[in-house]
Amino acid sequence: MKGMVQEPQGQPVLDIQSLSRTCNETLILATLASGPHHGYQLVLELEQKSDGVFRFKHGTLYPILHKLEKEGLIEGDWLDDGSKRKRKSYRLTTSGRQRLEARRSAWSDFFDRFFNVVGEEGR
Amino acid sequence: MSRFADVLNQVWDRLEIPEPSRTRIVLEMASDLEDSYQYYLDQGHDETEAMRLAKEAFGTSEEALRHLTKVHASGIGGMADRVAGQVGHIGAGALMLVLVVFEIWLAAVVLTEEAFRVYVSPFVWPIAGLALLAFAFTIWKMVQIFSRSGRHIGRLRSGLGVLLFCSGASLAVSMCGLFFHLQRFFRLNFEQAPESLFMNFAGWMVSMSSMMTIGLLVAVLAALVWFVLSSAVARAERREMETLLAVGS
Repeated sequence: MKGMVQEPQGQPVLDIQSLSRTCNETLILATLASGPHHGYQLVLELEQKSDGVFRFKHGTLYPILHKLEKEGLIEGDWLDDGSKRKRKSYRLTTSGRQRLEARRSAWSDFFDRFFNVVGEEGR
Repeated sequence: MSRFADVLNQVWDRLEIPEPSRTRIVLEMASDLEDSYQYYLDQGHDETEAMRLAKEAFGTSEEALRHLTKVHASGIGGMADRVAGQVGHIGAGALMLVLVVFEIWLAAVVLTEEAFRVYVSPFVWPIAGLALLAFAFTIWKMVQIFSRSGRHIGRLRSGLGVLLFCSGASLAVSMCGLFFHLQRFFRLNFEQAPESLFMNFAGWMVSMSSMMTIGLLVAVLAALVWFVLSSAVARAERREMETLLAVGS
């Protein structure tokens, strides 16, 4: 299928037309793979791990988080961490882990093909 | 009132999502804003600067709010939220109460009939199990929603889908029972003498109709209870939101 990076089973995992969206979703799934995070922790960790390259405004994070939650890839719950306030924490579900693995493979494939086109110099 | 009431009010006004989803989202944003503020305080900034930085880092664009609206207003979840968000006035509550009482009375009439006990369908038992599950869950959830101590607003809604499951499952079991009895009735009439037809038919009608009645009653009752509890949670969330935003103060 044009513009799609395929999983071995033939299911499209990366739609070239919405690379930005799938990139953001994959980043969030990958961050949650290390354990549950609050919304704010997600933003901080993404920024720190990417040395400031991936910066999210909190407001832009919510549509992504809620979409992933609706799809069953992550699960949100209000938790008490011992302070006075309770926070909504997100964790990766089993489906989310499977999707993350598929996306990792798809992105690796994507960059191989990308550098096939632009050349390997400077990679 | 939240120190970020101005930001939250702006989001509240711009978010075109049905209640109670809108309230839940703004409550989550309020919590994250406080986290952000605390982070900047820990970094050594004063309160005013920490608030400014937290608001700056928050940033809700029109596009982001549009995406959020699209996520929450669509699908079965969006539809359920629109139904549950009908926080009506006392007239709607009274009507709900009348319907629930009527359903319980109807169930009692069917269950106490002699013919029901003689010709009870085996499919009534899984329906009874679902009814018990819905009842136990309702009691637990009512304690959670209406008790004041130790409750957190964000967790009140979790698990209400169990009631919808009981409602749907009860309907599904009733339909399975209907077809089972139908198939059994026609099979018996092929195998037995025609003079038994009327007796078979009468027994089948009692089994099938009482099973369907009980099944439909449990389905409607569970759905009604879901609506009542969802409305109660929506009201509680709304009160929490009004405290945060100091609406009307």
